[in-house]
Amino acid sequence: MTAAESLPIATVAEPARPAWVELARIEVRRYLGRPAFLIGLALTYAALLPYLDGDEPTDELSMIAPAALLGMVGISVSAHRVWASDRCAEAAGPTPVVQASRTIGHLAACLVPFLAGLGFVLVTLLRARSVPTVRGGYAEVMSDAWVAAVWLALGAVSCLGGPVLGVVVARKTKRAAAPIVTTVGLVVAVIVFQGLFEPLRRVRVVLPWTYWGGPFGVDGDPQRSVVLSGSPGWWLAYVLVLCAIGAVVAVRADVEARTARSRSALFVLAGLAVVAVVLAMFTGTAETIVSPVPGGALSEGG
Amino acid sequence: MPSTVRFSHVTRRYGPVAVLDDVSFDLTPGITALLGPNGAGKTTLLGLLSTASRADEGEITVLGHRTDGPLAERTEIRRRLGFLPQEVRFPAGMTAFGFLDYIAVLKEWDDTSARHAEVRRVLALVGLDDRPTIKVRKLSGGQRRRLAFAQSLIGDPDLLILDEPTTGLDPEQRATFRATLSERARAGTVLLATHQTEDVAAVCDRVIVLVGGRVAHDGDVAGFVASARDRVWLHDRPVADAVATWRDPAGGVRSVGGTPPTGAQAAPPTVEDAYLLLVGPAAVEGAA
Repeated sequence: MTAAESLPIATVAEPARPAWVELARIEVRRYLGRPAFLIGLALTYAALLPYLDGDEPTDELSMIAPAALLGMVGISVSAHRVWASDRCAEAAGPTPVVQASRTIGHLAACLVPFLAGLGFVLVTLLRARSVPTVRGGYAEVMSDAWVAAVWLALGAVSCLGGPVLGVVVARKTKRAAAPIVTTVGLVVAVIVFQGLFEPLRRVRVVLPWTYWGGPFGVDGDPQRSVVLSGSPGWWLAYVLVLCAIGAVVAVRADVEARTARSRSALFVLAGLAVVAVVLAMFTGTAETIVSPVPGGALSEGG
Repeated sequence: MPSTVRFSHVTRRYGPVAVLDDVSFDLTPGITALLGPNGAGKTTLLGLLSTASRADEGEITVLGHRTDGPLAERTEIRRRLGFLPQEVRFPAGMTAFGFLDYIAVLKEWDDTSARHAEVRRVLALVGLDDRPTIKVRKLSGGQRRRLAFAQSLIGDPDLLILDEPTTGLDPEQRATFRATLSERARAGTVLLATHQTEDVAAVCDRVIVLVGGRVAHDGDVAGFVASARDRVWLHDRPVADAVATWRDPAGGVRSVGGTPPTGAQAAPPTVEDAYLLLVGPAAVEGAA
């Protein structure tokens, strides 16, 4: 008989529901109460006001507001929420609810800025659909599906991706400056890969935020609008897969959650991301198009 | 009485250094003190016991479950465990209630009303029930320590592991802590790692002393104190070869160990005397 067998076995009843459900509820409520989020939310929707009354054209530049004020701010908001919960957990020592469950709670809270960004995009899309004369830039010549894919990726998924990235950052490091450094690094990368530089135009879609057109100008006409090559539909799929990869990476930061299943999920998602980004590069609009162009001449996709 | 905890030939190394070396003991219900100089391996031992880390050799069972078992087995241990770490970093913006409420969720209290009732109960146990909504950052050091103690009491755990619980507490708070702990020990097992030998004398049934990663003493408190009988002296000057000397409140100098000079009076020993006699030479060797 082993030592373990000689001792009384004590068991406690399983909880009624998974702990992450309650943790998600708590973290959603706390995310909603974060001043940085509330200020970002107010400013994001304030950015809609000039468009609601008048014929100001909307374009992807409008999507900078949610992406910056909800998405990028979300990197810091999420990271600090994770660290705060880590401190609570450290104070209690090992608990039956493991780090991975807390991480899932934080990931659930990322839906808060995502839904806020989604609301912004839907309002913008509805306005562009109901008042066609206000469609500006590429929105004048590209299909509704093309425009919707670009705006959803830029204005809504970015509001999910930023906070998810914040959770990943917090799970990988405890350095207080990490969220800010990540945010600045991301901004620099986006500037470099925004499509201004010809050699990077096709590969720009590897970034989680990039331009699909705008008044980039051409020789002799700096105000000329441009539609960049690629498929925004596949790119939308790609950035969503990136969010999923971030979620799995964050959960797997807990050594007790590094199961074969989660590793397989990571490989599958990585494969999907590669496929989606390659399709985003090489399908859809074949070449960079300078407006004005006849809509029928465009090769749309995605 | 059945063992709650069994350490069996446990060794834990950091690199080539064995921080715990072939440690064996059982714990039964009641309060056991864990004494030892800094670096003796106390915090490492508590980490192993709480399932935070794993032993390199040997076997640890808690309430019949192995601490190096699969996650489900470790979870069973964690459900019955209350743990107060030596240092607690509190989240900046939380209230006392919010802090405990969150930890209660981590301890699987998923029913909100029951959880809130439990939080109020443990706040009352540590005398903070009148300040549930105060921000943690506004609490004094002693109040924070009591708040940290409160979280370890959530769910009335079968095994309570406390690492330096009375650091920062004033004498009144310490007396309250002792009363709470004594009450708690009637139903469960408490392992109290401390440098406060007065706490050991006041509340503990048994004492384990770790020196250099090994168990140097394991026995009841009375026997431990008795080991210092006729080795503690009161005189008007320090004993030359004593392990430690200090001024006695009753007058004269108290010397622990050494050869008593003529006229020295034997003094009733304390836990501290016994500890110094046991650890003093080892500490001197360690410093050399």
